[in-house]
Amino acid sequence: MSENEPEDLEGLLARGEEEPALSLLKSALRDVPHPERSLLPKIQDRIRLRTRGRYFRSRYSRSLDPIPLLLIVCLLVLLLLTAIFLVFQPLASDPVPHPLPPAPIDPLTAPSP
Amino acid sequence: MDSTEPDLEFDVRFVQRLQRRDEHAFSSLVVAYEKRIFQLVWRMLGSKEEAEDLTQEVFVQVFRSIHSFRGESKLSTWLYRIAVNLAKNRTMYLARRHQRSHEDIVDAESVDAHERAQGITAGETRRPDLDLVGSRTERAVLECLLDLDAEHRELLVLRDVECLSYEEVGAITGLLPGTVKSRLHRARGLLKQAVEARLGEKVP
Repeated sequence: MSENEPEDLEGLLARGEEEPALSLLKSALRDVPHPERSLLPKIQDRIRLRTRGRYFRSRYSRSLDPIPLLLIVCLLVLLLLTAIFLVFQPLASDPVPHPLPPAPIDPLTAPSP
Repeated sequence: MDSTEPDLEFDVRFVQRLQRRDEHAFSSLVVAYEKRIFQLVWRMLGSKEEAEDLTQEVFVQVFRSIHSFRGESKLSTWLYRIAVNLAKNRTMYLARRHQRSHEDIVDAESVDAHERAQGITAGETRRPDLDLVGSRTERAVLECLLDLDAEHRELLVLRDVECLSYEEVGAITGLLPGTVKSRLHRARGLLKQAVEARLGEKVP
């Protein structure tokens, strides 16, 4: 229907008769209370209980988006490896000195017995 | 449906992930729709605690029966259908429970108390949540809406408050669009009568 095309009779009657009542209804239902926090954890709990732990058992499966969690894990592993490297690196760069083997004896210069 | 609707509607891959019981996909679905489902359910039940509980049940039901979603309607329409059906069942359950507890009270108390209690209907029971709702007229509208039968109430909420199209309301309720229109007309009339009776004055 184009904007200038007249509405049908039912539409006009309905609008004329009921618009104030509708606005009253809308304003009455405008202020809806909200749950204090997301219902997601409770929903996950219910599903876990009803599926006997088949779903939403692990912390990983309950996370909303696994990518940040994976990133955090990767970062922690990286930090741990760096720490290990820093602790053991001085030991690796300062090896225990081995005694030098005795120099070969030159028969020409060596003092005769 | 408003323009802020999550961009999940036509994502076939997202639905397939849901049907594979992908937990992360399901969590995304909950986050995207929990507020709207809660609002719808609260408008049907008028109680925050009941609405919170029922919203959780809706998503449990969705998780359980997502394999039966064929994509013939929008995902949100399918969610709404589950929410409306569960809300109707809950309404009937609460009405039965109220009736039972009322009978218990009548049995237990004296005849004088029985006489005092006569004439009290479910609509006249106190609903603390509604004390927070705006003006006297608005409270009356809300109380009268909650006193309507579930079929009329769902039509008013879906069409006049949630602003869904007649086709969407029909898809949710299982009614033809023409039937939706005629029943909606009747529902508006009943609501208006009830509000006028409660306020004792004419509503514009």
